[in-house]
Amino acid sequence: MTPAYDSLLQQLKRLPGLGYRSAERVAMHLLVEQPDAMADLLQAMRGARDAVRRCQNCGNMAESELCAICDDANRDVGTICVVEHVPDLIAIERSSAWKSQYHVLHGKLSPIHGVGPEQLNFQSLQHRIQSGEINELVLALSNDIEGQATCHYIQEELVQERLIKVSRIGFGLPSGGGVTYADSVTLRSALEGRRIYE
Amino acid sequence: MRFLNLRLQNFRNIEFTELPLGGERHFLLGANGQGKSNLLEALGLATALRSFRTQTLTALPRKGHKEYALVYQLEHDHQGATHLEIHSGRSGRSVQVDGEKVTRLVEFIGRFPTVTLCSGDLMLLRGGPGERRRFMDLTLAVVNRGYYTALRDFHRGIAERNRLLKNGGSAAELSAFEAEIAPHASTIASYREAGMAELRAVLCRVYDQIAEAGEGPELDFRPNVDCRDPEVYRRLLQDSRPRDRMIGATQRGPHRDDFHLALQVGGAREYASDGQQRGLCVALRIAQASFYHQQLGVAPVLLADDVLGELDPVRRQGFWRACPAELQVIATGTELPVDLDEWRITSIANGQATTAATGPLV
Ligand SMILES: [Zn+2]
Repeated sequence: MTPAYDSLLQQLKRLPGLGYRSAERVAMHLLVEQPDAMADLLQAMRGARDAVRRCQNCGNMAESELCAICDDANRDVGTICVVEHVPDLIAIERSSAWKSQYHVLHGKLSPIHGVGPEQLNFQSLQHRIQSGEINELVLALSNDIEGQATCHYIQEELVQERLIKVSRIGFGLPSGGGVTYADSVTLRSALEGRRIYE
Repeated sequence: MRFLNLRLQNFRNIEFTELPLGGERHFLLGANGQGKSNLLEALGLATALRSFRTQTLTALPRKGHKEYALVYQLEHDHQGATHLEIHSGRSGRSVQVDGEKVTRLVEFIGRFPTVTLCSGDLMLLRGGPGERRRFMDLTLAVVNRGYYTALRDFHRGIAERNRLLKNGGSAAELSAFEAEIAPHASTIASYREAGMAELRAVLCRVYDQIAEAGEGPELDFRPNVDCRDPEVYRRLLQDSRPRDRMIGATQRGPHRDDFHLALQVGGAREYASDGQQRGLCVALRIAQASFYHQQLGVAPVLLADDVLGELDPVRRQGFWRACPAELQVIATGTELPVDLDEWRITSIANGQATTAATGPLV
């Protein structure tokens, strides 16, 4: 249409979940139908970009050094649920099946996708384990080979011989499936029926 | 199970046609290249979204089109009248059963079992182990979801391990994947062991009805390594790292399994006559169908692509003796079948199905 419109469309199309048609709808909405909404959106985006960062303790989204969950004195610091992504954490929070802290890895081991231990949020997990505060790790990773291998790696390389209870909930999820798309009931029963890792 | 009707749009050479089925014996008559095998191929996709002719499904839409649609009406042993749709387009394939979207292949495989007989089946005797593994994997995946998921996770794990081997991955990462690959290998091994033994028993019964006296089939599972005990296979993977790193791939495991298929009158490849080999392949397909029936409780549909005409009269009679009467059979050929009155005939020309006068259809 116009060079500026085309370039906006190109950027929108890159966003996850937006195909050509939905990108076009969003662009039309912002430029033609509701131009006033654009200023608010831009402000919100800039604000979020400047404010949101990773929690230094767990890797969740935060606006200061610690996220709201790590900052919550009522949460047990000794029991940690390890998830792949922030949306997994959100799904578990929504199921209200977990009342303690989390650790977000930001992925799982997958050599095919170029993800090794260095790409994952293992360093701060190692710090937390070494601090001696943790007595239980619940690994809520996807029920596929990469999720399973990541569980194994955490047990063998990070926990090692320490007296920490390690369990997996992956068995309760549909085979090949992840945490984000499991419903609350499934998540709750998976967390309650977690199995000790041997 | 019985197909009642199939409608196809933009599939192979077919722009649009409707194939009325529903009888016990249907014969699709037409010259080569008219589309009769395409119709069988479309029916066969209902089992596992796999084509008996190609492993790359990109060739399926009609020239100049990106999407095809297949709409099946069928009578299912458990579900009764069922409406199945397979659509394929730019965003991949989608499957609907009675209007409900099937989101995972594992929930679909084997619900609508068919067995295809084609001249390519001779590759099970003459071809390499890859052909036989594909047969074995499909046969076991159709009757068992646990096999399908173990196989999927195993192959995925091997691909991840191979990448580590190529890229100089750490011992810790290799250990993590090997420990998780091994239980899947063990699951695959036990299913193959038990499944192939079961299939051999069925094959012996079937072959007795087809063959001449003094012949007997041999079907033996030949594992590359014994990995029924996951710990044994895990240790083997660990010990093979130096060699595997040099080659950049996992050398040993269920992905190298094979089975031996032959006649007792000597190794089939060397000694069996062409007719005996064809007879053995047909027997194996009927055994596969009986195996499905027995394991799933659903009678599969037999799809015979141009093979019955290639059998000599003795073996053709043997086929009908061995073929369970309750199975729907849909066959193709370039000439009218000998046993004409058994069949409902549909002529296929230029991608169009026309019911001939000799074949009154419901
Ligand atoms: Zn935090």
